[in-house]
Amino acid sequence: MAKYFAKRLLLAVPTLFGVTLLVFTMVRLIPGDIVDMLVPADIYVGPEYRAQMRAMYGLDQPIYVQYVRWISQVAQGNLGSSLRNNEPIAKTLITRLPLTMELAFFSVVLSALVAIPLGIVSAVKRNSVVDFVARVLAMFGLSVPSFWLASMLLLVTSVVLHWQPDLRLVPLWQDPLTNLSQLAMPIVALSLALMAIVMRMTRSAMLEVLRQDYMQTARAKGLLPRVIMVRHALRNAFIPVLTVLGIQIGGLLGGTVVIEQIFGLPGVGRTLLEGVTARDYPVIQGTVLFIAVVFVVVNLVVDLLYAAVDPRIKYG
Amino acid sequence: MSAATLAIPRGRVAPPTFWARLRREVRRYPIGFLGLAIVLVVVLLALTADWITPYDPAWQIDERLTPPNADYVLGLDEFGRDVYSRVIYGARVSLYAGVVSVVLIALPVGTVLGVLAGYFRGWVDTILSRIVDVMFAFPSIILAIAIVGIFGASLTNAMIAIGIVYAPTFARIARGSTLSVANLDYITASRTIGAKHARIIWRHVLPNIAAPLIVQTTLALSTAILFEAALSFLGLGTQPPTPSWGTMLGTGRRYMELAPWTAIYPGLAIMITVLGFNLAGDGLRDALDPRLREG
Amino acid sequence: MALSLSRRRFVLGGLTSALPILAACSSAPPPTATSAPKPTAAPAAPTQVPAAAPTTAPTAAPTTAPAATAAGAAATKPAAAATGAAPAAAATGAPAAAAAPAPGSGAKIINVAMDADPVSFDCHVQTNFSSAQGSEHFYESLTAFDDKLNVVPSIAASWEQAKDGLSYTFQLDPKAKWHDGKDVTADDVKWTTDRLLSPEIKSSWAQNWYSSVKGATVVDQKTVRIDLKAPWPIGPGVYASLRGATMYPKDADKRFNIKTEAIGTGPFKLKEFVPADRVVYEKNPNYRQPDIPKVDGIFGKIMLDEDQRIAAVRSGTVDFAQISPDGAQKLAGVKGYQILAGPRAWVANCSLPYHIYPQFKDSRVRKAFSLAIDRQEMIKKSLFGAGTLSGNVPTSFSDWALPDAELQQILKRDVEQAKELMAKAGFPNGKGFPKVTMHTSAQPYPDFISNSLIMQQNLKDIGVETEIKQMEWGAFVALGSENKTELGFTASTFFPDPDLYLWPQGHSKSANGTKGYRHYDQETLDKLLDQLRSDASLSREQRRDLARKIDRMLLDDPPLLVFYNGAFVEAVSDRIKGYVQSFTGRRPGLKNVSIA
Repeated sequence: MAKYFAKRLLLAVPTLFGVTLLVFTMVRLIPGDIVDMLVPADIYVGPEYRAQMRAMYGLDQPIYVQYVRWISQVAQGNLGSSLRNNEPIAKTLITRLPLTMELAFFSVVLSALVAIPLGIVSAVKRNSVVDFVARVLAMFGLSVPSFWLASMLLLVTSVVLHWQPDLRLVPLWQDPLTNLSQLAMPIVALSLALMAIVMRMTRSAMLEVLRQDYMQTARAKGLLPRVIMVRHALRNAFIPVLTVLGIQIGGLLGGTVVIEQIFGLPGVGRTLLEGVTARDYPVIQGTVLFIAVVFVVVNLVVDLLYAAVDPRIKYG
Repeated sequence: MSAATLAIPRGRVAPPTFWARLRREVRRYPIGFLGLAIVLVVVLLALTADWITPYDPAWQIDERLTPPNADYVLGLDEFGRDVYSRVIYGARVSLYAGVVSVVLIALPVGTVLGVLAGYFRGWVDTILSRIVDVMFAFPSIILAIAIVGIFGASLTNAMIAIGIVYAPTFARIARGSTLSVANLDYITASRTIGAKHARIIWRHVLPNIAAPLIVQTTLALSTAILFEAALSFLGLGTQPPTPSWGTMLGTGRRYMELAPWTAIYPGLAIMITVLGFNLAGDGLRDALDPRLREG
Repeated sequence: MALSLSRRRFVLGGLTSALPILAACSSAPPPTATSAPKPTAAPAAPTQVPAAAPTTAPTAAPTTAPAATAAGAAATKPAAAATGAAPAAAATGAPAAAAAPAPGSGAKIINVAMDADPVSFDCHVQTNFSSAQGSEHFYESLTAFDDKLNVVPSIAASWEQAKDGLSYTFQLDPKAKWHDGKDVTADDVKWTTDRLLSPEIKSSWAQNWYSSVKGATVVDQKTVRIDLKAPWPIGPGVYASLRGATMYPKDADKRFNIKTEAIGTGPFKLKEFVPADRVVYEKNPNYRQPDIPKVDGIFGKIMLDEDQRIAAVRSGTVDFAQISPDGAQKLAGVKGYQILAGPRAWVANCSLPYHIYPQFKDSRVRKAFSLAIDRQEMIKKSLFGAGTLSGNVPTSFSDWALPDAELQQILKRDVEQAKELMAKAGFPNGKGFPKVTMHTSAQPYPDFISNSLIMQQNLKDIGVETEIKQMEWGAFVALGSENKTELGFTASTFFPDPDLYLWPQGHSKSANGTKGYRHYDQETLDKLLDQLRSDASLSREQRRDLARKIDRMLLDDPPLLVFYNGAFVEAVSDRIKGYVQSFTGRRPGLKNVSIA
C-alpha cells in the first residue's frame, strides 16, 4: 500500500507539470491581457505606451522565458502575486480555500446522504412508486441550473421568510451556527444537481450489481438478503458512485464559481473567474495549479477507497 | 440510434413482422419507449419549428412581458418576442448542443481513452490517465473561455468546449468499469487463449461497461443543455437573437417575479427533454445488457 | 437642503407604477404639482398596457426644463403620480424600524451592498470605476464636486490659475490631516503628482486626462503649484472626479500596500479590505469638517449579483443597494425603503467602424443609421423606462447638456428620411450595403445586448442586415484595443468635463478621426473642439454654449450613435436620513447622512 501511495504521488508530478504547461499557454491564447483590461476603450493610450506597460508586467518576453521564470518560482513554493493588487496568490488562496472546501464537502455529503439511500431503494424496489418518485425528483434536479435555483432560494427566503444571512461572514470554527446559516443556501443550490447525479449513479450501479452472477450465488448459498445487500451489493455498487463523488468534489473546487458569485462568497472559484476576467495571469495560473493539486489528492483518496471497498482491485 | 434497432435480439430466428416485434419490445421496455417517444417529439418539434410557430422567434413587438393570452399563448418576453415560438425553436439549439458535445465528442473520445487505459493497464494506462488527469484538473470555465476566445464565439465552438470538458468523465468511468470487468474470468480466459484485443474489447468489454456509460451519456446530455446556458450567460455560447432554453431560463430569472412565464416554459421544456433523455437511456441500458436480455 | 431634497424625490409607488426617473439635478426646482412634467412628445410607438400591468413601463414623457436654470432636462413621471397618487406615499408608508437593525451594540453602521469589487485602491494605475467607488470615503483630492457639480474646495482651500493658463496654484486647507494625524503638506501633493507621472507605474491616466500636467512645485508647506504643458481649463474638475486624482501621503507606497491599504484624509478610515468579500470603513473622528461624518462606520459587503442585493433589501439586511431599473420594479412597494432614481452619467452608445467599412465615411449613411434607431423603444425595453434621451454630453450633466426639447427633435426616429438618405448614398432599401457585425457583451451590463437587439430590428426597416456577436467581456475589450470592433455597444460613464465627451468623438486627431470619421464641416468642428479644450479665457457660460454647439454638430453628423442616458437607481433604507444621490455615480452623499 505504501509503495502504491508513493508511486501515485510520483505520478502526480507529470500531471501537475502538464497542467502548468496547459494553463500557461491557454491563458495567453485567450484574447486580451492585463494591459487591455487596465486601459478601457474610453481612455485612449497610444500603442507605444501600451507596449511599455506590457514590458512592465514582463509580458514582452518570449513565452518560454516567461514560463521558465514562473515555473522556477513555483518550484520554490512561490505562486507569485496578483498583477492587480500585489496580493500574494498563495495567501489569497489559503484564505479562500476553507470556504470553498466547506461548500464542496457539505454539498457532497448532503447529496450523498439523500441520494445514496434513495438510489438503493429505487433499485431494489425497481418500478415501484418509490422508484418512480425518486427518479422524477432526480430529473428535476438535473433540469434546474444551479444559478436559477440560487435565485429562487434568494427570492423565497427574502420574500416569504424575510430572512437573509448576516452580512459578516464567520468561519465555521468560530461560530458554526451562523456559518452554516450563511452557507445553507449555496450548499442546497449546489447539492440538488449533485443529488440527482449520485442518485441515478447509485441506482444504476445497484441494478447492475444485483444481476451479477455472484449475487445469484450468494442468494443460492442462502445468505440473508440484508447480508447480501451490505456485503456484496453495496460494496460493489460503490465503485462507480465513489468515482462520481470524487469527480464532483474535485469539480466543485473550481465549479462553485457561479454560486459563489450569486451568494457573494469569496471562494476559490471566484478567484479564478476574477483572474480570468481581469486577465491576471499569475492569479489564473496559481489558482489552476492549486485546484489541480487538490484534485490529484482527492483522486488518490478515491482510488485508495476503491481498494478498500472492492476486493477485486489490487494495487501493486 | 433508436432503442428499437438496438433491442433486436441476437437470436437467429427471423421475427414475423416489424410491427409485431416493435409491439413486443414496447411491452418489454415501456419506460424506455416513453422516453424515446419524448425525445422523438422534441426532435420533431425542432425539425418542424418553421411551420408550427406563429411568429419569428427574433421578432420584437412593442409590448413586452405580456402574460400568456390568445395571441401569444405563452406570453411575451422582455423584448416583446413570442415565448412559444422561442421555446419551439429553442429545441433546435438544445438538441444540437447535446448531440455535438456529448454524442459526437465526449462519449467517443472518453470511451476510447478509458477503455484503452483500463484494458491494457501498464504504461498505456499511465500515460492516458495522466492526460485525462490534466484535462480533469483543469477548470472547465477556463477551457471554455480559451476555446471560444481562440476560435471565436459561436454555439458550435461552445459545444466543442463542453465536449472536451465532459470527455474525461467518460474516460474515468470507462476506465473504472473496464478495470473491474477486465478481471472477470471469461475475459482473462479469452486473453489466455489468445483472442485478439480488439475482439475482446468489442465483444466482451464494451457490452459490459455500456450501462454506466449510457447513464452518463443521458446525464451529460441533460447537463450539456444547462452548461450551454451557463456559457451563454458569460457570452460564450448561443448568439442572440437565436433562442436557446438555457439562455431563456438565464435571462428569465431576472423577470421571475414580474413575468414568470419567461422562465417557466423554457424550464419545463428542459425538464421534459431531460426526462426523455434519461428514460430512453434507462431503456437502452436494459436493452443493451446482455445478461438481462439473455436471462 | 439635503433632507428636503430626499422628500422631493420620486419614489416608486405601487407595483403598477412605472419606474420614475427624476432626471433633474439637485439644483432643479422642486417638482411641485404645477411643474409636474407634461409630455411634450408622443411616445414613439403606442404602448399597449396589458391587463396585468406590473411589467410595462410607459414610455418616458420628458419635459423641457427652463434653459436658464442648471436643471437637468427631462423627468419621467410615474403613472401613480399622473393619477394623483402622491409619489412620496410609498417612501413614508413603512416604519423605519422594519428596516435594517443596526448590528453590534448600538454603533451606527451603514450597511452597503457594493455591486462591484474595488480590487485595488491604487487609483493611479486602476481604471475601474469600482476602485473610485471603494476609495472615495477615505481618499480625497485637491478639489471636489458639490451636488450641482460645481467644483468646490476639498484638501485645497482655494486655487488660482496663472494668467497664461500654464499653472494652477493650490492653497492647502490648514485643517487637512492624514488619518495618522500628520498635516497634509505640499510635499504630499508633489509626491502624488510625481508618482502619477512616473514612468515606473505607467498610469494610463497620465497619458490621458492628465496629459497636460508637467509636474508639481512646492511653493511652501501649504502651497503647491501644478505646472502645465498647455492650458487645462478642466483641471480642477478632473481632480474633483477622483479618477487618478486621489492624494496620497508622501512615500505611501513604501509605508503600506498602496493597493489594499490606505492612509487618506477622508471622513472615514479604511479599517479592513477583504477582496471579493468586504470593505469596512470606520469614522475619522478628526475630519476637518466638524460633525462629519455623523455615523460610526460603513460596512460594505460586495454583492455582485443583483438577486442577492434585492434579497438583502427585502429582508432589511442592507441600507443601500444599487439596482437595475427592473430590480426597482421588483422592489416596488417594499417596506422600509425608498427607491431613488436620479440622474447619473450613463450614455449608452454604439461606435461605427469607419476603418472596416468605408461606407460609414459617407455622412448620409451614418445619419440614416441614427434616424433609423428607435431610442424610445430602447429606453423602454433596455431600461424599463428609467432613462432619457441624451446627446454626447449626458443629459442632466449640470447645464452642459442639450435641452430635452431639442434632443426630442434631433433624435426622433424617421425611417422614411433614413431610407431616403440611404438611397442617396447608393443603397436604396439597403441594397448593396454589407452585412455588419455588432459586437457586444452581456456581462456586466445587460443593456448593451438589449440595445443591440433593438437596433438590429430597427436597421431591418432600412434594409440593413446585421449579425450580433456576443462576447466575453475581456475578449470584447481586447477586440476594441485591436481596433477590430465593428458596431460596438458600450456606454460612457462620468467624465468631469464636457470636453472629455466631445473631443474624443469628433476631433480629427481623436480615435474616430484617425479611423476615418470626417464631419461635413470638420474644420469648424476641430476649431471649436480645440477652443473648448484649451481656451482658458472663456467664461463658464461661454464654454457651456460652445459645448452645446459642438454636441449639436456631432448629433447632426454623428461619429457614433448615441442612445440614451440611464438613471442611477438605488434602494435606500428609511433609517438613513439626508442622503443625496450624485450624478457622478459615486456615493459622496454618504458622509452627510445620519441614522435615525
